[in-house]
Amino acid sequence: MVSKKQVLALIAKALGVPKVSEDSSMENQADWDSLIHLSILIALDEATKGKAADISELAQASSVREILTLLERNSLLSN
Amino acid sequence: MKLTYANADFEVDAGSAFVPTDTSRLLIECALKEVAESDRVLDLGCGSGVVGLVIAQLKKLPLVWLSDIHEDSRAPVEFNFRSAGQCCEFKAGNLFEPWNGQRFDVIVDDVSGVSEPLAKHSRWFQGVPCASGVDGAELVVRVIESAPRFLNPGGRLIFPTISLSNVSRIVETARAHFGSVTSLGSVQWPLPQELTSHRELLESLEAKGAITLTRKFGMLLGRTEIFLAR
Repeated sequence: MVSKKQVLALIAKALGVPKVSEDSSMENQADWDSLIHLSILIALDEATKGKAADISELAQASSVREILTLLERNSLLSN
Repeated sequence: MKLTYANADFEVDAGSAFVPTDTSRLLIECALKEVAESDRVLDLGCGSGVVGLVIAQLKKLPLVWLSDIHEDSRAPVEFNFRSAGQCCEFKAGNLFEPWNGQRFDVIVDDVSGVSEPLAKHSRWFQGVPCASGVDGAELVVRVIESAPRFLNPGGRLIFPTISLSNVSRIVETARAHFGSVTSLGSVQWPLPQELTSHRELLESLEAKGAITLTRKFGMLLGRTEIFLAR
């Protein structure tokens, strides 16, 4: 499992920005392209010890909020 | 085309040569960590010369040597170096053929391989030769086997591997010819649609061990890894 704080941190790191919020998305983060998105997913996969890779919907998630929702729905998000 | 490497912009003309890819990008990033300002550097299989040019510019090399099987690469290579105010010596020829009697401190192998049955479906090799064999390893293996004869004492070979080839065979070859083989970095990327649409071919090649596929997030992923052999 990962915490919301960890998810925000790894997304920020992938984007090369100091921080992101739940409102951050591909629409308002200029550098968040498909390759960066994949690096976010791979970082999530490592943080969840391989469990995130089974969530195919993550490939289409385009915002922090969507990612958090999907992780929570799949019992991978801790409080 | 405008390319950015290591926060520096480069305006390059690829001509009809191989267009730089993410493998090229990772190769450049890894090579920049290994090349010293006094090194004699060979960019082998240079295409439009982008890899050699970026290294030359950012490492302030007085001269870089480059070669490609295509004589057509000469024009974009010389144009790109001239435009950037850098010096190069380009020769056309197959792998190390143009460099008999010469030795280098660093050879950056820009020749990678993808399984030939896949290469003909990919946009990377349209009009560009890829005689890499079913397991995609033939060319890189030949480079690795020959490289020691073209390296100075203490010289290094930097080479890419792509998971759409037999990476194990390539790395084993490197270990047989060099004292030390280490990974400099890797990146994963989604297989392009023009390849994922050939699912049966992909699975057949995977079953033979010719390629390695990673399945994550409902996607098929490939992987590029850059190695240093010394």
